[in-house]
Amino acid sequence: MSANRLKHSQSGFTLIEVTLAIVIGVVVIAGATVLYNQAKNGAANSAAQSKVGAAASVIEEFAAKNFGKYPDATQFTNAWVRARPDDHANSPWGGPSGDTDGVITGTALGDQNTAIAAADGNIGAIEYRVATTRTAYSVFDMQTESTKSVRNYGVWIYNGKGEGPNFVMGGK
Amino acid sequence: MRLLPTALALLVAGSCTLGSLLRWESEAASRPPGLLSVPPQTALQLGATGFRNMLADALYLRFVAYWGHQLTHGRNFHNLYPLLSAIVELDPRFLSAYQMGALALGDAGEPLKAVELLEKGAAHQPENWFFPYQTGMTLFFFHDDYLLAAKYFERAAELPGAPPEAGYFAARMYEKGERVELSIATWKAIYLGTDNPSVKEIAKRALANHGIDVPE
Repeated sequence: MSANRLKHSQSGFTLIEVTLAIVIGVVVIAGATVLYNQAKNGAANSAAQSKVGAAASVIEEFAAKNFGKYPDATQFTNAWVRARPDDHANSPWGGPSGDTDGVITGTALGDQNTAIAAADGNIGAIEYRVATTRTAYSVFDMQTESTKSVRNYGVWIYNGKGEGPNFVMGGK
Repeated sequence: MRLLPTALALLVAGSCTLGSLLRWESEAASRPPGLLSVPPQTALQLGATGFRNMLADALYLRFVAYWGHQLTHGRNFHNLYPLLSAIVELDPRFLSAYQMGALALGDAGEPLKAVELLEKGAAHQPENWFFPYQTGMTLFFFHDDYLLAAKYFERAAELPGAPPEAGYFAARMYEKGERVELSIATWKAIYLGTDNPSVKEIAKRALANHGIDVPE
């Protein structure tokens, strides 16, 4: 008699309740993950666009001091490092650099000079290319899927997979 | 024994929901652009009593995520200005909101809205060179209005703590706006108005570039 009472008084979760809790939990976690990823990617894009804008400002500041002459690759590199002493080598997407942080390379490409700041296989790169012959050229912006005409210079960002350019800003 | 089919049905339903959610995310790019919701002003005022900065921060995070997402998902920028306006009304000293907001609005093809936003900041902090300087940059980069940009840079240069670049930009904008005489006058004013040797040197070189010698 007392064993029966004990048996009936035992309480616990039914299989339905447990399953329901799991399903709700999974859906909530998935929803939160989706929103978090969206916010994280959005913030990274915002940081990248902001950095391209900052680089363009540095270039224009150089030109303002030098009667309209845009910096060559080395001059851009120096100006960029001076303007962003704390994060010039950081990821253009807002995060810290990888192992090869701070790499800045410059190459001459015919009528153009380039400087690549924060180049890194994992974090992407911010690239500055100045046209030494003042010839306008076109850059296809992968993010906006539009072609932009770049006069005098272009500054843009590649992502960590080497895809790009993205977030192009051109010389005025 | 009936519990198992019910549990399985729930699992299937959950999986379908999860699948739909993931599909919703992957199809985000092709969806019609969603409107960025902006709380009405009265709600902002009532809700923010005592928590104005915190609410401004929360809305700013919303702005950054929305803007960044739209940069790579169709560039449909709706309601950017109302949201940014709400942020700076909650916290008029929120410089990042002005700076990023002006860049976002300029890039979205609304440079005059960017100017409006920066003017709000200037009204709250008339002695801060940052606002006219950013306005000049916005008009230069996104509106190609060099002469108006020059006026803003001039205003910035007159304010305490302004970097010498404000004056340089004023001169350069006048030159780009084909008002060389105003550019020369600006360089002369920079030369005469500073004791900083490097600024003097830059102004001297700029004037020499125009064929004007200045006394040592």
